[in-house]
Amino acid sequence: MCGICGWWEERDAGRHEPLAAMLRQMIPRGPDDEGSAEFHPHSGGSLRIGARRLAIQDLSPAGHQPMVDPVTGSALVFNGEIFNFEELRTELVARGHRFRSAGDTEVILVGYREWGEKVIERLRGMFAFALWDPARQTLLVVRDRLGVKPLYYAAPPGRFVFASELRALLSSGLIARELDVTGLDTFLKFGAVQEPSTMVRGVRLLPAGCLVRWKSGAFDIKRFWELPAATLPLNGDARVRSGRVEELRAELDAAVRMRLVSDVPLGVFLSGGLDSTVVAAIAARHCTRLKTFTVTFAEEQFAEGVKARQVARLIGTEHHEITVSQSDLIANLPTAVAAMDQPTVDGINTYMVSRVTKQAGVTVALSGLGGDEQFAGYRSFRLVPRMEWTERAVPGWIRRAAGSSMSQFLGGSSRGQKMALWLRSRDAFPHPFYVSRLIFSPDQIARLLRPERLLEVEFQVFGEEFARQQRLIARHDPVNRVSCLELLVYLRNTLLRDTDSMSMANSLEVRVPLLDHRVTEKALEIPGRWKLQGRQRKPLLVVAAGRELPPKILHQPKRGFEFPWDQWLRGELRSSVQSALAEPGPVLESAINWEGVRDIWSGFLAGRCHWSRVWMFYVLQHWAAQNLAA
Amino acid sequence: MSRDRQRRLRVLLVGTEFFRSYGGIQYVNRLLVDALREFALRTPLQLDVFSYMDGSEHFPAMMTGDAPVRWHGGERSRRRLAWRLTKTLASAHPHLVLFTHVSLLPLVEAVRALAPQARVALLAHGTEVWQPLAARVARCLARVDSFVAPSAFTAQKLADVQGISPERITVIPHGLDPAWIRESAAGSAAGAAGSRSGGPLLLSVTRLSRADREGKGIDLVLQALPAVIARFPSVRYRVVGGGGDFPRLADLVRSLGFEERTELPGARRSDDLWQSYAQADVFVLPTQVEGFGIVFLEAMSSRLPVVAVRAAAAPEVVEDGVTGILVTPGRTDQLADALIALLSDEDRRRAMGEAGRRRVELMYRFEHFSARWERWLAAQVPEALYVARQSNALTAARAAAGAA
Repeated sequence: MCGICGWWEERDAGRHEPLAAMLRQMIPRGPDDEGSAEFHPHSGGSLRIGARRLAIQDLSPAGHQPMVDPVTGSALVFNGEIFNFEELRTELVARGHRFRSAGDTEVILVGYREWGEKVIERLRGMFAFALWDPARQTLLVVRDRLGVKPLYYAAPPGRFVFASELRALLSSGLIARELDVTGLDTFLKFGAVQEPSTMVRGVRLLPAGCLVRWKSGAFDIKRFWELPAATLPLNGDARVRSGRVEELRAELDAAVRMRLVSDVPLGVFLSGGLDSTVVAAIAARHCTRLKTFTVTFAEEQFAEGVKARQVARLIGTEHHEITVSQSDLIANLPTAVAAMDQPTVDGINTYMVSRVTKQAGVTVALSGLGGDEQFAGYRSFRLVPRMEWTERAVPGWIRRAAGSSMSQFLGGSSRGQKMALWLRSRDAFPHPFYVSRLIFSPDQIARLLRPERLLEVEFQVFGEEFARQQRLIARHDPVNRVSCLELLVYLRNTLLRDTDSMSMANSLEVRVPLLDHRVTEKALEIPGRWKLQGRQRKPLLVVAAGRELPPKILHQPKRGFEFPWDQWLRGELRSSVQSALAEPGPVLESAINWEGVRDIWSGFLAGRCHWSRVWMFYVLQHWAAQNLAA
Repeated sequence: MSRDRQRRLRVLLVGTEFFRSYGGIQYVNRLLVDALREFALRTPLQLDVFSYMDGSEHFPAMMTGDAPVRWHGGERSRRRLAWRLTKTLASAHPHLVLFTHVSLLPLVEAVRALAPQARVALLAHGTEVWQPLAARVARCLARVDSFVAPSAFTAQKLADVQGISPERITVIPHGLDPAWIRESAAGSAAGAAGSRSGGPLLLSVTRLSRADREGKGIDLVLQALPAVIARFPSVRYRVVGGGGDFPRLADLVRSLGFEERTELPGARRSDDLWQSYAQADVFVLPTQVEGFGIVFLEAMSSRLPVVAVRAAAAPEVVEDGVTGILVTPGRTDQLADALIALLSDEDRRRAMGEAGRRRVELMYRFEHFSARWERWLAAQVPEALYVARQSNALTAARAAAGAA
């Protein structure tokens, strides 16, 4: 796990500072080692690549980056983990290749020597890497299939620059610290900036499953992986059904097993919820002394320790409980907010859990992230298919009339407003899912952004991404459609971004076995209705886990790892939030109609508005002050 | 699956006349509709056009079939116009209502009552707002949110005479429609190729209305003509335009003994006009009543040097010494001198004609006009535009996904 960066400048003045600054910014991502290298493409200019390393596998200096292939001269900087590296290594050795190190980085390099670009298709894991191929004079910049690892880039004329963090790009001094209103627009809509937009003008997040091929100052983007195109046809045959479940079980088992390989202390986050329980249960089968960790709270009302303890006892792990208090959490909030690479409505929980886990001596943690999205854990899996049905079955004029009356009668409730928006204007979004994840509606945003900045919002990128998503879900059943959209929208842009930036801020690597791409492929090919059968939550995941779990665990209601934000914002955090929201600051003043933000704050205090709306502006305010220039 | 309405930007355009006759105001009204139709190609826009004078028979078929534009004719009845406007206001929830003539402003009360959310704007053309308005109309000015004037001169008049604060006024110069630019280029080439016959030709193009008789300055040109004839005995003068002042002018021409060399063909439509511009050597119109002066653009586009006066908006359109010569208002001697100077120097005429053409290409093409209106519209209703643009992008996304 590392931070990588690179910079090509057509008219190179021999400066080293931009790359050095990017590397400095990423020290928490990779505290153990640093390296950089310089190349001179035939087409001109100078290309520098660099990496900060958090040593997880092969702790020896042989794992140093950039790693150069002695045969071809190709050079690689790599962030992430290739979990099937041993398998690939064996295959490459059988083909006559020799290795100098024991880790996964060299496998990519030697694999590239053998298979060229096609090596990417063989990689199983989470990764973002850049590979300079001097023979082809091409720089490949690649991001993993599901978007676990980020990769930001900017390509102003005569320059190409990329990094694992947006803030690293900013620290290079090569990018103007200007707000991107399109990024801001998507943040206000969904609580997190939607790829490929970012909060900084001119900077893009490379879409997941894509690679950049840069050559002679120009580049193109190619997609190398996509979610499965369709749910496989439903077959009533019990053998087919059990066969499919067995395949899923096998992939799940392999995905967890592969992620247990580490040369540093590893543990499993165990919240007591179903997803982490399944991951821990599978891991325990492959590991004799598996460590599990639960973060519990001193305050009883949000402590989850008991259930986690029960699970740990049942599956036989070495269990650790880390207790934090509310005052600890609140004291650490400013650091957590400061750790955000881009503003996000979520993420604080992840920061706190990562922090205490790292302090407990763990460097690698497995998480159950992705279970809700792929195994129908959210309410949206029941709600959105009903909304789809309504769109098909109820005439537009009835829906519009119902929507108009809803806006009248449910004026104060955010959920009511969302439903009213969806009923009134179906074309507000191309699928009801988006409305279910919406924070501010387009009408609200139109009032929140300053009129002159509204015109800057580019809808083309937004429209193209939506079109792509709609094409992708077209041949899935209603439940799997929601699955795909949860993966593409909420998981990719909110959960995975937060997990990466918040865990990396604490030099902790988080592995997400449920988001192994083969697990995802299998899970999305299985008919959605198998995922919602009976009263059992996520029945398919439970079956695929292949282990008897106690009914207490299986039937517990869904419980997020949630802090009492509403209470905090009215109590302990009130004065700091109130003073932060009093004035917009120089950056946001030109973009946001701050009177609207003050209204949101007073609406929250009067109980008319959800805490998340206030929190979003608090976070945005801090982020903009730290990272943008007026 | 039911077909839902897209969220559009809804604009109501209320004008006196679009098609029934040909004049500057009608021309600008039509050009404005064209600009908005252009805008509608990129942004979902519903445009309702209300015309006081036109009836349905005046609306060209190609325009009525155009989905984003709906035409409503008042057929010269204010009551009918008000009724149609009222019906639409109640159902269409417009974001913007743009009046294109101050005389229609009393209808603003209906707009305020039925569509309180709508922004109201007025397009002023020229003389109609240079003098204090009737109290009933003047009161309505306070109900208007923003104003558009075609020239800084008219904008200043709005501020000085009508008391409108300058920040509420935007200057959007008129433009030439694409056909004019194209055809005038072809026409002037044909003219240059030798379709001219006889002596040098001076051209004026203007509406000959009794009210503007003094202001348009045709009499002044006739008074200057003897001096020009003394120098160029074969000089001819053509005044294209019709109106109530036409018989008087014809009598004046006869009484001055200029009937041999002066042509008064009456009002002419575009195709004839191109020919006139192509055949002329100098365009002359010492008008003091132009809110903008589209004819100057037409002349410049046809590569004609322009002789006009330093009054009203003419100095904004004609660049003195570069695209033409500006003289002091009322000075027949200066006017004659300017005409003689141009007629006696072909190179200068050609240079000024080319400079005029360049000026049109750089500043007054239809694209400039539509882009300026688009910017103005965006600034008037940014919120509605944002919602409409998003809706458009998502509808396209839905269609693309459907097609796949």
